[in-house]
Amino acid sequence: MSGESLISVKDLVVEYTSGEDVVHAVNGVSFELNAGETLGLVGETGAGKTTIAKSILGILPDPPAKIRGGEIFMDGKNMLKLSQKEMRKVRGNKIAMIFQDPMTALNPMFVVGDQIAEVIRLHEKISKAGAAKKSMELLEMVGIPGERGREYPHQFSGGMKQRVVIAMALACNPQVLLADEPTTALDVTIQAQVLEMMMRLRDQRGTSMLMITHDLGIVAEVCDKVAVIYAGEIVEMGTKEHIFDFTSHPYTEGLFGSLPNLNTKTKRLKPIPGMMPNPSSLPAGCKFHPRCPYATEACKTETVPLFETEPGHLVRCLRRDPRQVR
Amino acid sequence: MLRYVLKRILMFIPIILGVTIFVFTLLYFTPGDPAQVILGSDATEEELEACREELGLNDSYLERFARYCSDVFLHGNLGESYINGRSISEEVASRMPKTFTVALVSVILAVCIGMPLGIISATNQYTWKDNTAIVLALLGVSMPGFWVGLMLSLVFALKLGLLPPSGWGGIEYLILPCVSIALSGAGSIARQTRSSMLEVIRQDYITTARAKGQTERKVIYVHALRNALIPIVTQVGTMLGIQLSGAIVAESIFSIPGIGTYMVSGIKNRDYPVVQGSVLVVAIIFSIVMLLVDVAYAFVDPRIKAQYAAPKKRTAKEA
Repeated sequence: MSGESLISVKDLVVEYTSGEDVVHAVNGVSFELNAGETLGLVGETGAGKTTIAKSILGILPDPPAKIRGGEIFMDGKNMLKLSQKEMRKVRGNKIAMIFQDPMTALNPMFVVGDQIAEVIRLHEKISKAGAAKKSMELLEMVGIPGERGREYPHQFSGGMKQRVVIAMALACNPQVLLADEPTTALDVTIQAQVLEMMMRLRDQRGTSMLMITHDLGIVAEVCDKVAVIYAGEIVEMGTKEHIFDFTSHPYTEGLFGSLPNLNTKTKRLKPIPGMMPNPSSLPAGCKFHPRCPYATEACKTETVPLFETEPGHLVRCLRRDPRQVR
Repeated sequence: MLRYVLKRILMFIPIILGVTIFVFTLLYFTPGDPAQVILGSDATEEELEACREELGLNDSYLERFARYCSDVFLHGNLGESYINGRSISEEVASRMPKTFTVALVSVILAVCIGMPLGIISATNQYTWKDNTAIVLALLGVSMPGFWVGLMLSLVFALKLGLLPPSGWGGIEYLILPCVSIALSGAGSIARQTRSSMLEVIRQDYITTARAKGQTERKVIYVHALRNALIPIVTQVGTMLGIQLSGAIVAESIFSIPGIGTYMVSGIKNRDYPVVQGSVLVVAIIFSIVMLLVDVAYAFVDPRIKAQYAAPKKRTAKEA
């Protein structure tokens, strides 16, 4: 919506090899993240969301992961072509990542202040004392008394640890923040606090954000645009308003349908029937067809492209094919 | 921390007492007559009886045990050898430095070979480097120490004549025994390092470190290694403890006048006081090394340090 494209991902394909099996984790994902904008990546566990984020940062474990194709542009450079040395200047500096589980994301052997100072010293010309002072300020910024920087991760609660992780991610004022389910591992009450703080800091600093989540509530609160991921593909993408008000893909419908409605009396939740396909043997045609209530014969064979139903609203479903009305 | 160390030192008392009772009792029931050993086979029955009386061998078990304990713990006297009458305490004191030197050098050597091998192997998992390292480590572990010692001695001392085959003197006497001890130690340290590093490398905080833009070198040697260190410290500590208590095989092969050869000669000659004394000393040394290992944990891992610092108060407060 606002600003020009900061990161653009084009036809990203990532595979994991385990023995004989090839796991197709990401299959041709393209999207753009604009300056000052928050894009939500929504999908089930195993849909490939985290893999996308780690590809952007170039920290996929190789082996077993391998980027088979596609391009990721930032500042006009294809980041997949950058050397390790050049990528290290991007990581933590221009792009930073917040991980899912704060319990394990911090190194238990070092005091948190040093862990924050580490990233500052890597990317800025600053003295040891200067970095230590800055790390204290960052802790204060996320609502932790600065002197607690001398404590070890095991002396913090889960919510506090996630604040430390956020402080670490924001330390070098990155342009892009990749937030990989930052609140999933936290208590509901802490979730709200952490989320609010992230939004406040994002707005203060004008950071762009890629918000990975499976919680549509978070999407509603935080995101400007949404991309729904299923089996390593984007099945629907558009502005938050489009997705919420004009839901077009049966999978997105299912996601909304599975939320309990507080206004009506429901005894049981309505899950989407079936399981996500095994990513090492994806079905032909539309990958959602085995679970789709509208599936036709054509869905089982035809490869479905993304159709633009309205400007900026893309849907990967044959029912939205403008050439044929079904 | 200090409280913990003091507590552990107090625990030495039952350990050492237990070892004393155990060794004393075992030797008490062992067949064989020390008087016969001392006087030789052509001694008369009267001479033997007089000797037994003089050594107190005719007293009851409890009397003998009490006498031994009071000598050792109250007077620091481990007794005299039956064979040559020399003071065991003095003998042990003169042999200990040699055993210490061999143990320290070989453990340092094993760590210097084993840890890098394990790290290379873990960071290059399933590649040729990993496979080579695994084979080398397995070779080190599975070659029996006495055989390695003999082979090294055969090649470097007898065939090439580069190093002395046995004895004690300058650095050149240290090389062969230390290498033969270090090889098997290095193998097991390498295997331990590899498995422990592999586990740590998959942890989230390693990904975090990479995501910060940290160099791979520092990710491995600072972030990963420190976390992988606990099991390695345990292994190295155990090895050090065993070597300090006398590398019996290596000392015998290379004729090093250390505590190991002393113990062996004591066992061979039924020289009970020698066996008792050296086993007791070895048990104390082993306990001290294990205490040092536990203290080392606290310096490696701040979480363990926190446990040592306040063992009981904390749970009540936090619950």
